[in-house]
Amino acid sequence: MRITEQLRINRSLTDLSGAQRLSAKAEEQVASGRRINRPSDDPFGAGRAIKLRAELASIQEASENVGLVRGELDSADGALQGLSELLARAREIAVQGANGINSTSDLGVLQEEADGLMRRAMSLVNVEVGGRYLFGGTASDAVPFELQDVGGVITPVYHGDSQERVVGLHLATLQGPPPGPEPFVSNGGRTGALDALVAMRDAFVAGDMNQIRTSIDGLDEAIEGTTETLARVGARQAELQALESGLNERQTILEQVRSSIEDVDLSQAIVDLKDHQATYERSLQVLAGVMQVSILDFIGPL
Amino acid sequence: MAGLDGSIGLSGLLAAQRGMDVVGHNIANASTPGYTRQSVELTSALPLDHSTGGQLGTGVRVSMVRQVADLFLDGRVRVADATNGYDTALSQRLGEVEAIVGDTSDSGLSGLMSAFFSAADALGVTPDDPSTRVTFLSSVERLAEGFRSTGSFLEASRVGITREVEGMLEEVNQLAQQVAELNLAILNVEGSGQQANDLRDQRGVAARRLSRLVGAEATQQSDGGLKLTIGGRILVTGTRARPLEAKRDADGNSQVFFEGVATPLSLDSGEVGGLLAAQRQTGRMFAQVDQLAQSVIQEANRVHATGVPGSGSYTSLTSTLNAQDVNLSGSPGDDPINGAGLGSFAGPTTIAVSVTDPAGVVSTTPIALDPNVDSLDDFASALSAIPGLSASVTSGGQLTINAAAGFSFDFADRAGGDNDPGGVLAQLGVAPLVAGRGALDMALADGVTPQRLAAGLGPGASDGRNALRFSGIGRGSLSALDGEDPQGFLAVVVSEAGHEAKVASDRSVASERVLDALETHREGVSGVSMEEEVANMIRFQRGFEAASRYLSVLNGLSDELMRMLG
Repeated sequence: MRITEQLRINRSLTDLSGAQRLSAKAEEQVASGRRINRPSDDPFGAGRAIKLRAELASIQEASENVGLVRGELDSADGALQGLSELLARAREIAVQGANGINSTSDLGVLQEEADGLMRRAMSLVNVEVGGRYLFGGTASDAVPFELQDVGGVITPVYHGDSQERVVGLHLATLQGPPPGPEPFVSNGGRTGALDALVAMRDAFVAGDMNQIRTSIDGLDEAIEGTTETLARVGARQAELQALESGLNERQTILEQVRSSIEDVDLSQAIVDLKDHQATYERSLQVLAGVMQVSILDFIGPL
Repeated sequence: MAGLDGSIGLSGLLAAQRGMDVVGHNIANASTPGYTRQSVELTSALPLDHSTGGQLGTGVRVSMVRQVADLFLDGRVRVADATNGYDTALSQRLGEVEAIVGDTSDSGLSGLMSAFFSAADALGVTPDDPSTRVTFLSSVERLAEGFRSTGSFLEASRVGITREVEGMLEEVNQLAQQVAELNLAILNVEGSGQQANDLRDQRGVAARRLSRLVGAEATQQSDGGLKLTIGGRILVTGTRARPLEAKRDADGNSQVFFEGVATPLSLDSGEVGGLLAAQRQTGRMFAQVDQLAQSVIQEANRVHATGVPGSGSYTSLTSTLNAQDVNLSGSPGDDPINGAGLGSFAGPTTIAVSVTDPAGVVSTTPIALDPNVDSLDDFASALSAIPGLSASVTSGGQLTINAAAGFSFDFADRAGGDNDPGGVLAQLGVAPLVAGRGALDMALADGVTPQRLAAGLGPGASDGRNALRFSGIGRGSLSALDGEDPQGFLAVVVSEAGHEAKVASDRSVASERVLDALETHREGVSGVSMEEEVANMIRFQRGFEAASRYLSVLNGLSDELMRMLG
């Protein structure tokens, strides 16, 4: 075949632009650290990466929310533990008060403590995290429990609702602290903790041994109810824990999969880049060589 | 002595001169695009019959200046150029489109959707925190903006292609006219027995450009004319050219016609063909993005309409979209809901209406509606039948619902279930979250404030169950999206866009290689080689020198004779 000057230049230019293209691609991969910089780099992978990123974003958000929910459950757990200890102490006082050998001053001291326990219980059942009252159901913006004092007659009332707080964590939904009124305020079932405490305090105020004795039964029911709710919160904490470790595991796996799809194998990419750059340099040298040699250099004046 | 008049020597001189002319012409045009090298064809001149026996030569004659071309190869180069033009134009356009649709950064559609669903999850956990409400609304705004900018980019790209095609057709028409004129000029020159080499080159360049633009095929005709056809239909024949024009079809895509012909040309090669294919592809992609936007709008509005706003249940509500009086009865309220110009995505549904009386007691009444049969009036009268509510349809086609004093109402399922599965409320524009009908006009609906945002299914401040339904949109398979969830649907769109772009770019690389190979071949046959030209130059120079020497010897002989006479 005839080889002309133009042909050699064209060929070198083609090779040059080919080498340049490969080199630019390798440069982009090394610079961005990503194998897929636009969907056409790997159409299937790009589609999968979108789904993976979406799921990762959802898990990321869930991981942040896990902390909030855990805070609420832990606070609820703490409050319930405190309440349960408080009720145990109240029972001791009631038992002590009911034995019939106490002096009036002894009873006075006990009555004072019973009164104190009742008021301390209020701060436990009205526990809040970031302005949200935990045991008020979804009506969490108002103080849920109140000791209504009508002419010296104290009645515990509940202002919250009975709606469970449901939060979404990635694919799962989880319940926050259980809403009132039970086990704090009686609602047709067991005696509520506040009711039991008020009854005991009233019994001491009345100084009625029988009444004090009966209040022990109420306290027992309240302890039972509180323990049961504590167990429920514990179950939710365990569920949250399991969910969180599941999320972490899934996040790790998905991150690996995403990385294997999207991220570039850096050492491979750098080797490729060097390779393409070398080709590019050679093409440039060849082109310079083509331009230099001409028959005209070898012909003297005719 | 026949040669003593010097005519043989003269013919040698002239031939060498002519040879030098051609060499010079070749060298001068070495880099001219489309130039075909020429060579001098020499033949010995007609001999004389000599009386003393045998024939005597009379010198040399330039029979023609020939183009060294391979017509078959030229044709293949043109076809390859047309294919490459198509592939390159398509690949370039699709490359731009995929970069926008396939933006995987946080500001791409996928990232914005993720942000929206994440904001919904956060809202579900702390619906009583004003900042999560604001964040959620701003994520809706940003998503709407993302859809708008993606949609308008795709639309602008389509419109841009239309303009570009029109510009190219102008060039095509000029070139076709030029080929027709050159056909005439060549006919005139070659009719007188000469070779119109350079005119042929010019015509070749024009024909080549026409191949690249619209895939015109060229046929050499016996009279020296070049006939150009597109898809078998004549563009140029003899001295006549037929102009092309572009029109837009119902979908807004351009089509190319011969002027005055009703059926469009199907251009499967050439840059214009590639642009048209890219335009159709962009249109399909826009339709998919629009479909996604519509689904998100409908679902988000359906969920929002069936929640309870932070400010509590409604005491009065007016739908934001106006039903049309399609059946021309004089009232917009008696048309079926799906036939009242509000769209027709809603399906048979049951809407549970919860009414809270002044004592705070909630009673729930289900209303069953078939939007293909039931009208807005039917819905209004069913609502009015509920104690504490009155509803009517305005003359402008809006549904107005009012609660009696002390009453309030909402469409939330207090038990946490789904309400209005058919989406009738969303279609009517009752308490919408998002306004707009698709990707081009999506926006946060007017009047949605953090307080008016329906995050719960009950009046409780930390009831975030409706927010969970928002994030559930991201996980649910939607029939309007072929059973995919929104991100899955987008992934398919992006995969497709990437696939199309990859195929186009692979093809354009391949067809460029073919074109290069053929160009190289053509250059090998018709290109100018400096070495060859310089060698020819030396050859003709020597020839000229020898012929001059011959003439000078002849001159000497003549002098000798003259002196003898003197």
